[in-house]
Amino acid sequence: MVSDTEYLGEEIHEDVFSFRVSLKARWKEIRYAISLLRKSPLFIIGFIVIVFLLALAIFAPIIASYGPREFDIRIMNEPPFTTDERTTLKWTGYSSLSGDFDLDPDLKARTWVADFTNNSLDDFMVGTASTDTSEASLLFFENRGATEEKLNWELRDDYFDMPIPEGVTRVVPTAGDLDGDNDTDVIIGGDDGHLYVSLNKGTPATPAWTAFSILNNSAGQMFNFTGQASPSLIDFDSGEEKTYDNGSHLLDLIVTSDIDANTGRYQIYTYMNRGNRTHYSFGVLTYNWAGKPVPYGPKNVTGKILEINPTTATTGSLRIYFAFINNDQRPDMILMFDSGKYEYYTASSVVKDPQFLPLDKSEASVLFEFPALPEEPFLDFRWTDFTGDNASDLIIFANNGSVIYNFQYYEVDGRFHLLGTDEQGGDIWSRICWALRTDFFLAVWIVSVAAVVGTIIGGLAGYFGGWVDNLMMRITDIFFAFPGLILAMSIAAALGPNLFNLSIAMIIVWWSGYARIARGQVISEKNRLYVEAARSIGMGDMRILFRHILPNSIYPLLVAATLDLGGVVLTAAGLSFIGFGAQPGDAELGIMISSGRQYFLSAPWLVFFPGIFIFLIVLAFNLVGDGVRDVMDPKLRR
Amino acid sequence: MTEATANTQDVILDIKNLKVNFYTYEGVVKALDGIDLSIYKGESFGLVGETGCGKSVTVRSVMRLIEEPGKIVEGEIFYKGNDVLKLKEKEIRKLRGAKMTMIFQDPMTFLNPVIQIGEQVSEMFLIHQKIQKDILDNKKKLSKYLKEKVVEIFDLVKLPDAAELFKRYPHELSGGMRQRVLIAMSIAADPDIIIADEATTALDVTIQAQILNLLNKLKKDLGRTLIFVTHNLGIVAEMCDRVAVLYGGQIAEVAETKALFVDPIHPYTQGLLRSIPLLHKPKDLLDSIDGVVPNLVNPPSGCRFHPRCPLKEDICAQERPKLVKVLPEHWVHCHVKQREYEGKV
Amino acid sequence: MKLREYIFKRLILLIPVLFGVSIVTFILSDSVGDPVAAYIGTALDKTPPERIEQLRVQLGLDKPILDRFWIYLTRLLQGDWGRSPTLQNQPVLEIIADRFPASAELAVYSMILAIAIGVPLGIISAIKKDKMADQVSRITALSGVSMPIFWLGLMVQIILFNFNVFMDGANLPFNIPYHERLTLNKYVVPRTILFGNFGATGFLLIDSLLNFDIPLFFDVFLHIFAPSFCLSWVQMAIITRMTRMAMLETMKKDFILLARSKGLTERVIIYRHALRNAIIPTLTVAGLALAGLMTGAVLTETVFDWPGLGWWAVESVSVLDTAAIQGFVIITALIYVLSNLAVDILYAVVDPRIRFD
Repeated sequence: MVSDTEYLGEEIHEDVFSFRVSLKARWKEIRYAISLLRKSPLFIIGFIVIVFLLALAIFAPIIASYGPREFDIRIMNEPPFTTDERTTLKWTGYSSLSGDFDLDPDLKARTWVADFTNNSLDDFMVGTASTDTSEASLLFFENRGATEEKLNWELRDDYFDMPIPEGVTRVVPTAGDLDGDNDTDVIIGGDDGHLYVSLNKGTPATPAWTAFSILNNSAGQMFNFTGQASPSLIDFDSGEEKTYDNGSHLLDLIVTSDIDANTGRYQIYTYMNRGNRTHYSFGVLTYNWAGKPVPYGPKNVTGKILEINPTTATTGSLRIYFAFINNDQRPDMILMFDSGKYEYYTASSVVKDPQFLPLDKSEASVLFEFPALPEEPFLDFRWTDFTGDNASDLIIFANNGSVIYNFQYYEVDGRFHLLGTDEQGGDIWSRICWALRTDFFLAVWIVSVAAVVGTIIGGLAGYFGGWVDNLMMRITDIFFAFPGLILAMSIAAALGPNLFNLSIAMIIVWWSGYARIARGQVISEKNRLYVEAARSIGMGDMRILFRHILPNSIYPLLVAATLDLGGVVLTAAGLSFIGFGAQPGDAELGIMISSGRQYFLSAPWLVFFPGIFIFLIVLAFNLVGDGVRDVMDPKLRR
Repeated sequence: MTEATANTQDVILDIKNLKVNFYTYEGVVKALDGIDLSIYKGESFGLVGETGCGKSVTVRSVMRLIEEPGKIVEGEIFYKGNDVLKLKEKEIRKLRGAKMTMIFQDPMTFLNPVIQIGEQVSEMFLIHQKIQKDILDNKKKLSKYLKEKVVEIFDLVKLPDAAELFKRYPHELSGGMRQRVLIAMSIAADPDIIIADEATTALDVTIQAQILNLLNKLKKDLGRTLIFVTHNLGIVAEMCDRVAVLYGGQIAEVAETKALFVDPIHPYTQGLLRSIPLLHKPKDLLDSIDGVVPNLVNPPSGCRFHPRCPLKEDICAQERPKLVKVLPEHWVHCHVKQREYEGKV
Repeated sequence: MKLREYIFKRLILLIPVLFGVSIVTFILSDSVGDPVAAYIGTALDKTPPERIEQLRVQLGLDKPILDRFWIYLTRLLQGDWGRSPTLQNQPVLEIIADRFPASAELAVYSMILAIAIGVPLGIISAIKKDKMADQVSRITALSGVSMPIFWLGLMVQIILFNFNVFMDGANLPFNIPYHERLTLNKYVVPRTILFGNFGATGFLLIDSLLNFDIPLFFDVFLHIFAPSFCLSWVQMAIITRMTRMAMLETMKKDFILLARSKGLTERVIIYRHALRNAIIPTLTVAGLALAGLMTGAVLTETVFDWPGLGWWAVESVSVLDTAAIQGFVIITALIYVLSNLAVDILYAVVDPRIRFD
């Protein structure tokens, strides 16, 4: 430097050339800092832990024996295991059951399964409509149990012998305990648009049925639908402890009707049971999906109108099946059209106020496996555990009288569970490996975006001063006046809880800290000689700021960012824990703790291991951050 | 410096082969490399040198105030025949403040900002003076007693409104006043040795003069030994009986003030004196010593001044010279000059 | 400037800040939720359109935005903060009055605990720098900072649960609870003798003592023990780190060197000269942390079902209960600004250098 400036006859203050010089000096400083860090044991421990966890995250596909969302399909939740060898469910191929049922090829079968005989095996109630005669019938098949992967059914004419109401040529049955006497009662939907009910006043083994009578709603009106009424009884509002009427635990009625010739749309009607355990009282229409908008209501509750794909919706009647396909404990729904096409929908909000959305099978948190149904007109299927082995089986009634079935069996997985399994049967170790990816990526993404945004805004404010600066400082003041967690929570909730929105919310909360640091740095830096020198040769403001000042102010920001990484992981996990970030099924450590909380007293490992990993990440980041701060902070350096 | 001890004057402080290292991340800084000094009772002694030559380290070693990462690695410091460096922590604490006190450079930072001035000064009486038991047991009496004492000492250092100052905090005082408070503190317990570590550097010139006069007066009135650490040769010339010049952690020259200024022997001292601007002899360019202050992590071998020395010889780089008496009361640390003056004593 | 004037000036400055906050909450409520839906809650579907239209007029939703903001402001000032469907349509102001003491009690006790442990630990750590004691307390503090508090809470619950199971045979007169503030079916929230039915201090430990209700005091103590332990561990960690750093920095100051040169003992230097300087940054951190906790330690309250502001905030945010969120945000900002002021005043007491200008 001196030789360059010698001709001036005097030495020029080195600060004038500060940009390059100081960058060089800073580079030297960094190398020096690294050499210091090598001597700090706590930093080294932190660094090793981070490298280890990062390796787990990066090599998750190799190390983790299960994918991020690989769970058993279990309709019922089972308590989690520690050492149990995990089993997976598999489907057999289709095989025929036509011989057992021996249905007339002309019959169109509409079925319902229920355990009529109370022997823990589901029996079949088949309602029929003959195409050539005007006579409908109701057939009862008793489940004789399964032997050697074969289901045995017996037609029992004596069990249910009530005559079909007059004028009904097509019967769709449904069954459930309506009067609370612990046996199964029957409701049928006729093609005259009415519902008829027959109660069992006897015992499950020796039934005494009442004659079919027309079903009324609680207001005393007859149920009357367009064309064929297809009723389903399901306890629709159960499972939600916090609904405003406290969850009735009574069977509710859902009826689908034929396509409306005038509107060309289907209707799905829901009638909540407002009675009590010994007395049913289906309320007046509560919700109406599919086709007709809810008569009134503000815009933001329109989700109840179900859009049905026009290509699947053709003619004839619509039937509805409920199952718990994914693990969110909300009912999922399969719509079955007479054309043989079918569609899946999943409830996306609370049970009491469901909003059904088309179910994207790839996004279902349970790996969705379901044998393809043959797309035949007038197909009917039932999906229940017929064999009593806790695995669902599938029986399909085709319109030519053939019955085929396909059942699930358990196959021992054999893969080892290092940290046990969770409440969905997922392998905790694998899920943690995948979750580490999420959490690391989230932390780095949030901190880097927040730092960049904050630096730019803070730099501009610091450099230009005046009203720009004032405005920015007031804005950061407002951000500082709120507790970060609450603010992030609100933003995440408003945007809709998922991981991306969580990151956006946290960036919004986090940037102001960096803006303050950057502002302070720029203010202290902008009075240095080299800035004046740059200005005096006519360099533009932006160029001075971004090429000269900011590179010289970057180190405190880097230190702050390193120190923040741990805090960000902690906050993100916390937000996911209270339900504002990751959703059930995401591989994220906070949500793992949150979903494990249900069982945590009997299965502590569900909560313990994910938490330990959060702790390790944050601890390691803090160790590294502390080390970096100690060597970068001139105040603490000796 | 055995010759010095033979002198008729009483040696109050005798430093022998003092070595101090600072263990920093950048390496071991050999801040002091074998300092030998004798300070006589009742004299005012100057310690001069450039920044970083080890002046402050020397005097702080005397009070054993070297803090981490510094460490005294070798040497002996005799105060009245006792080796200060071998005393226990409890014993050295009795020396500090009571027998030796230090007036520090920066009055802004050396006073505790959150404690009242009176309280800070009265601590000196509380720990170093025997107070009658009945006063000590009675809180009211004690505070009254202490206040009296503090006011007395404030008057001595010519602090105005002494009684009112008692309750003030350091930030409410001007720089000169604060320096006076520091001086008051240092003479409160009636010490034998007062060390002024750049005591006036941070002050305005006029205030500087006042403080120096005050110190001079105190020294004369109280008859105490005063050690002056400064880089200001003017102050040395004004205040000191004898001077030691330090360079790079080694003593270059020790002499009586007049002798040193009139007839400097060590080439560094010569250079130093030449670089002083003189009003009556204006020059175009000031003389300066070529080269830079040595890096004490890797100090030059032999005589630490040799890379900059105009009289440099081969032996200078190879062998460290001894501090040798070349004239009466005049010691020099230089191979060349020692040869030149050999036998003149 | 006198202290009183300073406080007055700061209180005046509160007005623009709160105004800003009210703008934010207004925008929040206007963009995020449907005020009508929030107002009538779940009965929305059953409400006829005429009634909804009537409500829109009544709530002033048909007016231009500035008018609406004005109405909103006047309603706020009149104390009509709306009703929260999350909690049976109670008025928001009542909910805050009801829940704030719960959060504050938890916050104050855990903060006292945290300071009582954290400050000495920080001092020891600084004095014995790089020695065994320092390493131990540093690692303790670091683990506290790195601990996910919701996880810590669950772990404590597991331990307490198993302790209860283990002690089952011992016939203890109590089980260690880890939910709620008190055993609800057994005790009621007391009204104090002093305040009668106008309400108690809200701090159940104090209230029960004022009522001479020892069993209740014991019950409340058992309840508050676990959550305040978790909360104070994390706070203690922060305070320890802060104290240690401040002490280390102070011990390097020049006036400490002077104190040494005066011949003071190390004890006097640390406790008289260093601590008073080092306590200042610690105070700031502790003050602001206390404010944060007072507005609800969200995660801790969720884990321990603590009926405080934080838990209510989670519940109301998750269903976008706008009235509740608005109320919560305003009360939070108020507490933050006030506690900032309190910290500044405290500063002035500890640090004579601070002058109010």
